[in-house]
Amino acid sequence: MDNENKQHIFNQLEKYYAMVYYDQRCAGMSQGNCDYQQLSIEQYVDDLDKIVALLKARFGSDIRLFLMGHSWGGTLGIAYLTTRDQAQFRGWIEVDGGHDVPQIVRETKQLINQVGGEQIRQGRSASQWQQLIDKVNASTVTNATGEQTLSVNKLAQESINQLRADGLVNQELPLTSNRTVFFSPFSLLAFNQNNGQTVGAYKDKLARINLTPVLPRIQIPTLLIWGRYDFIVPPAIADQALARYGSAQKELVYFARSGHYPQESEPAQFEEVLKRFIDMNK
Amino acid sequence: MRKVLTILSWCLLVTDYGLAQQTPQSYSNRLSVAYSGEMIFHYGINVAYHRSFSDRLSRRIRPFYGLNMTGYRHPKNHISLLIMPEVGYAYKAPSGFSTSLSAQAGYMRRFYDGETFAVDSQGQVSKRPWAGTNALAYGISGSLGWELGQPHRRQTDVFIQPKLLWEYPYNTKSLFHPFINIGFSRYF
Repeated sequence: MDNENKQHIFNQLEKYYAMVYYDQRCAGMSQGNCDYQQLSIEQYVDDLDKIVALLKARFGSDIRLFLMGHSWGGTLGIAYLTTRDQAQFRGWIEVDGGHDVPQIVRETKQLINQVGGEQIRQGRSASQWQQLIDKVNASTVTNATGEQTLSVNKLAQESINQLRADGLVNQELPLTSNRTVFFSPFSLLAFNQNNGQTVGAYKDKLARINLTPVLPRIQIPTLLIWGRYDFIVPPAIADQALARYGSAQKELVYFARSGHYPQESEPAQFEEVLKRFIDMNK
Repeated sequence: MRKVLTILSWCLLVTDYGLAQQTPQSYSNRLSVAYSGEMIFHYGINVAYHRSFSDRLSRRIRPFYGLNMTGYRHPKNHISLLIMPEVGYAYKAPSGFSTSLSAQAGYMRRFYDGETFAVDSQGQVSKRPWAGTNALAYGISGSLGWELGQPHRRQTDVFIQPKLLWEYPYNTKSLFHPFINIGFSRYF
């Protein structure tokens, strides 16, 4: 991981575990002439299956694998584990993942009203929170299209930013720096193009994803890590996932000063919680 | 008014011809070698050969055509080879300052910079050396240069050349690549 911040969580985890990162089809820096219009969750699941096959071919069929997914990666991880051989993995780690996108949109509206209202009562950034509340209440959250879903998602991010300004959420590490842009495998132009095109092509399919009925199929040890102030995938989604997962061993840990990126906001705690889970199940 | 314009035009032609006579020789071929940096620091080399359409001494602004070849590496991302015919205009001032503007279009081969594997539908893994994609590359560039050595000998220039390039298809769209070339030209 070419992140110059030696304290970055993934740099720390690489001291203990072999970390595998991959750019999904048509996203990040992926190459190979994929077609944005042909994207589907089934295709993403198939691609992940091939990654697992490659890892086993290169490093041995007895390697001990854990699957971790953040945000959309949580959705993809659930889709994979409920349709492929989940026994390949010693554990599933979901970080602010979304299994029911239509419900996420509704919960985001509720959370902005709840937290925003509390902030206004306490006299913190009242006008800014009122604006956010007004905007989300004017948004369509029932049967939302891809565009409407992204619009609410944007308000969610603005709410996290406002909480950070209010001092309730920690600063996250920046996504890119000059060193990352110019002196690493990262390609800013490819990244921006791929992600923009993928979101544009996939948003309507994404807006309809609901994996709630299949959550009980997940039986392997499960760890859920969530930011307490994650407006993008609200805590209510985490509570529902915890209740519905079929695993005998499952745990939900809330990070009190985090939004959507607890691994960036509270990296020391993230490392501790993750290591405990992996060491317990490897 | 027509008479004034006609006289002015003749004056310009005579002046141009006269100034051109100060350059002792005509060089219609130019070979350039340059450091070529995609996103500035993804390092490579550019070699270009240009030839003037016209050998007339009186033309300070000269149209040219030629061939442009670049190879560069974005470490752990990709290596690209480009070969592109180009056309453009070059201007050389008596002071030794030069500038040019050109357009290129040609072929780009991208290789993935790392071990590459293929996994089939049965889960069988095989190595795929030299994996990559083919693309059309097209772009425009401009240069600023300065003569080295004695003025008007027109033998060697140093130049800097920003280039805007597009690769198509990159995941069915065009991908933008900015370049900076810094190097030397030799006239012969």
